[in-house]
Amino acid sequence: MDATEKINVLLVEDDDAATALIEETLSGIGYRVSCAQDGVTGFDMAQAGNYDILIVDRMLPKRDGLTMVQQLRAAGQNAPVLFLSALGEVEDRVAGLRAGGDDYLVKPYAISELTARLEALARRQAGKNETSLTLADLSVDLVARTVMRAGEPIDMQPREFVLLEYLLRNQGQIVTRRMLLENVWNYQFDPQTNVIDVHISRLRAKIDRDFTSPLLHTIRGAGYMMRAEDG
Amino acid sequence: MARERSLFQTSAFRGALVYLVLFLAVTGATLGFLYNEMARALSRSGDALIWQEAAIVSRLHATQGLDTLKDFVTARGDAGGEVVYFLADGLGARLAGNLSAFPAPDETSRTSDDWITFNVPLDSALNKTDALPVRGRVIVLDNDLALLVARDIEPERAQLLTMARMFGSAMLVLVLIGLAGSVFMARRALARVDIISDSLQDIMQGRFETRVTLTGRGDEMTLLADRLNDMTTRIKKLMSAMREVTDNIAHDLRTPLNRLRGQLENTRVQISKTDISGTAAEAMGDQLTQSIHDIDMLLENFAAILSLSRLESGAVARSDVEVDLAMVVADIAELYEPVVQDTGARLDVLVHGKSACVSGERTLISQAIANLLENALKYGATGENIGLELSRRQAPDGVFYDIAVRDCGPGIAAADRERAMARFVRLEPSRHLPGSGIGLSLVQAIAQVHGGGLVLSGNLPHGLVATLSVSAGKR
Repeated sequence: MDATEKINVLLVEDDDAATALIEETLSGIGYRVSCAQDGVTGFDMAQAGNYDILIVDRMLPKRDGLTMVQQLRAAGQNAPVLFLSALGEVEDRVAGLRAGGDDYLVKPYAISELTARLEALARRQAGKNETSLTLADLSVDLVARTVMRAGEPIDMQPREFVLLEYLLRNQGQIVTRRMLLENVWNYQFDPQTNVIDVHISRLRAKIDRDFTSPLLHTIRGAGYMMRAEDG
Repeated sequence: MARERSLFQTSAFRGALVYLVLFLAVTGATLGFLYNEMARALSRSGDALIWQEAAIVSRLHATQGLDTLKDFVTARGDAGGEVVYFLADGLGARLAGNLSAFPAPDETSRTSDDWITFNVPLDSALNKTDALPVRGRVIVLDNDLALLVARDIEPERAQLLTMARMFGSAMLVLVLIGLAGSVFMARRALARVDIISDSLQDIMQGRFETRVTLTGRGDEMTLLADRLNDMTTRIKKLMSAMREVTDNIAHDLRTPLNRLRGQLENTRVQISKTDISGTAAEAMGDQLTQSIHDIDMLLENFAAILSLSRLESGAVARSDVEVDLAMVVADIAELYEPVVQDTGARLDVLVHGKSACVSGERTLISQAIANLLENALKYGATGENIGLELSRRQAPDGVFYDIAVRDCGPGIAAADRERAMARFVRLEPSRHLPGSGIGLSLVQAIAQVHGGGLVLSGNLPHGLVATLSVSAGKR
């Protein structure tokens, strides 16, 4: 990532160790991280500073995360919010998204899961109303719902199309299995079997098998990424 | 509907009915006795008149002779009283009297003490427009002479009839009032029981703020309702304590584990960055990956236990969102179909009907079906088809949607099926496979939250059918 356009992140979390870990990881991959320890400080800092993304723990001293985000939204703050929480029931997620959160990550999470979601949130602002997505010689027409690679049409099932669209929208970034399950299939549970891998290999067979340079890559221990070989 | 039928089954109605029958029996016996006494009294006073007449005639015959007697009888008959006379000789021929002929024996009825009752025909000397019922007796004056004296008993009969009608109407009114009273009492009792029953149902669904509110004085039902409310308050306290404990566990135990996981992950990143090269670094990295994986398994089981506890305790408030099970089944089938196909088998999906709307939680139901499908993949025979079927079932206690997952594996012995659904139970042949023994418990808890259940049965010729049912009703 270019150093001149560092992404500003505000982390509101009361657990020192978790804060240190997130701060270190995010700084390592080029984010500028500011921290707040409680809901009141978090609110003030979010209002004063110009942050691109807020990471908010739900259980905070002084003012809980949900209330803080609700108040920020009411005050016109529209930076994307990622909730962190140990509460992972469906109702908890719904409460988080209703309060104005853009994503909801349940503890425990892999740090790579957190970074992948942050990347997705940071890029989401741009390019929401595109009518087509391209990567190297692969192009997807979002209106006609057709896929072409090297000028050849590729036949897609509806769900495969959604999967490809999601991967392409996040091209160049790691997309985790959990993100795919949540955003492509709209499920919030972790299957024990490798369902996502099987769907990915089907998709790969369609878009990569007959071509020399693969576009859909497996990132070991993290997830998948769409990118051109030399990108 | 069901309640109308059960009205007659309430103890209040039955009790009132038994009381009513008893009361009617006693009242009926009393009125019957009264009627009988009245009839006898009336008949006695009439009969006294006949005896009086007989005494006069006997005396007249003894002292004055037959001719005077004839004149007397004729005079008495013509006097127009409601008394019938018939004086006959030894052969039965008429000598005097206002009756034209002696009634035929088959037209008369005779009591054991020689009283006879018969109808005087219209053509008799009496100027009556109707056949007249009379009662009297034959007085033998000597060997050649007998006199029949009988009196009109129509007024007496009419009187008794009126009385019988009065008594009958009284009984009818009693029956009607009694029945209406029984229904009223039963309705009232049932309405209050319904209030209690509805409230309890609400409470069982997890709405612990529900209270039983009965209108009325401090009777036994309101006392019971008060006790139930106290119990609910206590349960609610226990529930929130339990929820607090699980939430605290979630926070206080999972957070440090999460932190530990993060530290391991960070170390792994550090190792990959440092210049330690070759197999040593790779081995360390692999060990860290394995440790992280182990922590993940631990945390995952932990999360499953927590959500199971919350489901079983009813602490999960079910949102009343309309979910089409046909869509849920189609979506989850679409997710798992490639996995099944990769094993060289087919996922046979069969959905009966166009839609199957219930109120429920899509994610929970999807997770339950996913668990069953994963079990079928894990324990079923590799390469054998897996069946997924949605059907509607009408049961005595409502309409249910059944979602059945069939595999052709070794199945579960009938004796072990119940046990297989209990927490942490892992059956023998598969004990060594990875898993927590909580999957089926979770499916069962999810089904129960949706008013249904989980049933395990055998597939033919072998294998397991796991049927998850979801209530179609609002409640």
